[in-house]
Amino acid sequence: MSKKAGNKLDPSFWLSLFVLGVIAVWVATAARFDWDTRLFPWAIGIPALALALRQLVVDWKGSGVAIQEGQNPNYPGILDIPVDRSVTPEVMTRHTLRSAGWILGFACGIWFLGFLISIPIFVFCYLIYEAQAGKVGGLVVAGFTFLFVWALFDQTMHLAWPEATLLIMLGF
Amino acid sequence: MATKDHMKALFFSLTFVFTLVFSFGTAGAQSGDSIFKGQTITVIAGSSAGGGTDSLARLLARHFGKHIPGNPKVVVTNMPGAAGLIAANHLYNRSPKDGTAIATMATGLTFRTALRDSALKFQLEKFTYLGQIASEGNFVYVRSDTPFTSFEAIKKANKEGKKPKFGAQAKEHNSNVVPMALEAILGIDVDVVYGYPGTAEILLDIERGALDGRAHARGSLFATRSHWLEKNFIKVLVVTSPQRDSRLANVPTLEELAPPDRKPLLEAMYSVQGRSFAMPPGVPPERVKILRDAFAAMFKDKEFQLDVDKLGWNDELIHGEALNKQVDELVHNESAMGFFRKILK
Amino acid sequence: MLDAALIATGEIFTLSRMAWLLGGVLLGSVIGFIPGIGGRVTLAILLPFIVKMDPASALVLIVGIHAIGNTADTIPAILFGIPGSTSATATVLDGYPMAKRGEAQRAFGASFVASGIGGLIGAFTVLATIPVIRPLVLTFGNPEFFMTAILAIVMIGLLTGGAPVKGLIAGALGLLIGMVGDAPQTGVQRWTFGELYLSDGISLIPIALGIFAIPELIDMTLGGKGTKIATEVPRINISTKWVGVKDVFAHWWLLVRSSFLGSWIGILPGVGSASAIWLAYAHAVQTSKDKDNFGKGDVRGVIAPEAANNASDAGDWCLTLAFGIPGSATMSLVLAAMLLLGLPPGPQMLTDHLHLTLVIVWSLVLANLMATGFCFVFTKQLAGITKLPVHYLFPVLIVLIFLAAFQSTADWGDLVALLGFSVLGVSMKRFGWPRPPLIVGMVLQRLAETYFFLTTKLYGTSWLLRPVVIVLFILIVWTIVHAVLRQSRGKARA
Repeated sequence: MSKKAGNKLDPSFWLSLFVLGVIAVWVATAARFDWDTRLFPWAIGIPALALALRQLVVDWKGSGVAIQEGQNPNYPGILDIPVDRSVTPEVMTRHTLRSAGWILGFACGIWFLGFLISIPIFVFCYLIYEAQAGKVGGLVVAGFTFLFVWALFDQTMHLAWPEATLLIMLGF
Repeated sequence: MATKDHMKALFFSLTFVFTLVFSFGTAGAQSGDSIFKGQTITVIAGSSAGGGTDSLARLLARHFGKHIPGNPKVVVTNMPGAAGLIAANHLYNRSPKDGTAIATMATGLTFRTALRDSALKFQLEKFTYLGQIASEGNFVYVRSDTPFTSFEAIKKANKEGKKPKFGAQAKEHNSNVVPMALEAILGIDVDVVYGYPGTAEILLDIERGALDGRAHARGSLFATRSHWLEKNFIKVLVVTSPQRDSRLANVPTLEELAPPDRKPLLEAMYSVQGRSFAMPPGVPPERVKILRDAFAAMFKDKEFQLDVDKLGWNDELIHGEALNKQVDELVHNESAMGFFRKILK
Repeated sequence: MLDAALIATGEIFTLSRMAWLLGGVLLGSVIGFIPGIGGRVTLAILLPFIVKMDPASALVLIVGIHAIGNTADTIPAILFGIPGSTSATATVLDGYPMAKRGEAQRAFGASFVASGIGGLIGAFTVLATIPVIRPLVLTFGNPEFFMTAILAIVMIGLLTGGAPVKGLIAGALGLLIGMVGDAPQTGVQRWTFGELYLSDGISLIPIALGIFAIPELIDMTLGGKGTKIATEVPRINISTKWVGVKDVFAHWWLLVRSSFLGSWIGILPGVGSASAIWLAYAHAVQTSKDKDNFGKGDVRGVIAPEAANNASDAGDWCLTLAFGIPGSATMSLVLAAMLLLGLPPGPQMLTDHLHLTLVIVWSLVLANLMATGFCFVFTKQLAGITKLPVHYLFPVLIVLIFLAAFQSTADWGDLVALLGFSVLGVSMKRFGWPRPPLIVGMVLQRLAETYFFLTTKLYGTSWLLRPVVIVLFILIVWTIVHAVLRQSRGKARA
């Protein structure tokens, strides 16, 4: 995230805004329900709304969390896996987008071609481009992955595969 | 013997994974010519693994294949969601229409049809019904230590502003529908607390005294709490099947207790208590005949009967053709559908 | 009870029964480690075969499969930061950092031994409690269950010392997400926008995988080509699994406390292992003087939840057997199997069929030992995965994640949920929002709301005066006060 000089906006601000929005919509739409149905949503949502608002204000003012230039923010004491601080935010964002691209690409592949076809293709392509594996290595891993999936999910579990758009269009 | 079992167990576990693929691939290959030879029939269970619906589907899968000429493989796939609605929608609109797709039919679908639920993407009577293998019927009972141990007692308590508390699962579940129907048919007032996650929780609350009683599928009561009957912990007030249950012969049927003008509604009640299977519309008639006949043959199979008994179900076959007629009549029966609409509001 | 115990002992210690137990463990290990799948699916696949066996052997096999599922879910948690099931989520927090430090073997050693001993303590605790289990569960009614669920969420939300507000919001968000679908009481559809997929609520598995698995996989590949999971060179004194074992015994009192905590919570319907692990973790944090290492690879953060998890199992089984209330999806399958075997769960399991219940308890003990022993043997090989290039692991794991998400309801919605919650998970991780409270909120939502409604419908307002409710209420208030004090003390220090 780019940092404007002198602006103490905590990068978490946007997420806090989103969360606040979600909770607000939740609480507002619950008003449409009858009393029984909306009781629990309001019992949880209204205090949550207050807390989310407070958090938004805290983030707007800058939580005093150490944000050094060119470093990922450090949120101490959070009960979660810490973010890798050895790379710059730019690198991190770029990498995240790139990985997301692969994942979305895989998802699209499933949409068009179905699981069983897109799985070996995805594995193979990723290994070739990102892992820079040799063609043989790529084929082997992709092949084993496919076999494992086919044996377990298709033959044994009889998973109800979704329909692949492209295959439907082609009449399969 | 012990060594043999030992060897069997080890062999089973060590080679299971490796022979899995190949054995499944070659199973079902028999000689004899038949449309279904070498095919796989998929039974869609409208619930996640482990529930009553799932047990039903797996029961069929275990016994059906060997009665179909060609001995096709029969497997179960789970499609939980919306109490069987997602499975039914899928079966109607997306499953192949060549006889290789079957699904469990949830009784809640009848109620949704009555309520003209827009989420239904099918017409209940247009399914090709395979058959019904068990007709449930519910016992309605209360704890013996409550003041509600007969319908007269309940009516008396109602006059004083008191109502027995019954527990139920989802709104369209029989545990709720049956007490609601009793209200309409017998003119009593009950308080049904629905939203219980499962039957066990209701039973627990009855034991705790938080609830006074419930409507409970016959087989399930015998399967899970038969000692309540032996110890007279509960008093069974009525049974909602057409005949008295031989295991509790002095419990009257709803038919006996219902006033004459309400009796037509009972037909509606009976038709929503069965466990049935269906196929999509448009399956070729000769395939339908083969499968329905196989279904009936399976029903006579001793091993099948044994399994049904273990599950506590009361086995009663309704042939697919008759079932289709029955559903068709029910859906067009305005008084029955209106009745469901009224009690489920 | 003694003669039932003798019969049970005779039944289990036969060669064939032991073979079935071992068979179950081996079978379960084939897919038990895949996140989101595990024991439940193995059981579903084998159900047709299981029902043809004699009841005791069948139960033993089931226990074996289940036991390894419980242990195997730790494997992806430590190796990739992806919990194999919700019961392994707490182990991720310290297990994964340990793996990144090259201490995967130590983490595995500690977790397997802690699991093994925890399971033992759990089984014996439940055994000792069998005479009072029924009265206990009967006294604990809907109001008490509700308060316990709230206590669990509050405790976990407030565990985030640095930002309790974010933790509480995350927990609330989890509860709200869980409310999508039909309201348990009225059946009214909430926030489903007419989508059939949502009418049953968003499935937990795609959400959990989206929130935890995908962000970790993305971050795992941050380094260039050739990076391994274990990014640091192991220290001079090579950390083997035996160091992990020593750790467990160094902290044996924590182990015992966590196990007791786990077994007691396991007995409570629904609250189960998902809460037990966090409460044990919270307990470990709160009772240690040097808290700073938690979340960075403190071995106590592995010992406590793992012990509690396996200990809660015995309680879970007892609840299923004695009351027919499955504490988890796996238990529903167990129930189905039992019905098909002609063994209806209920009070008879503690009276007429007591010997079968004891067979199960014995099996739990042994299966636990077999499963943890089995995993322990292969620790070195498992840890070896941290030496593989991450860019080889990434696509394979992504494939497995997608499949695990999809198989929860076999609907496109599962994949959409997976992707959507991945975005949320990545954002939360980047911006310091703790993710565990969200999952706990989701897991407990249906319960919390169901119990809340049943409570108000059945008891009106008189439930607030019940003794256990008051005790739990005081605990909740104390937790909040404690957290607020701790935060202001932290600020004062800064």
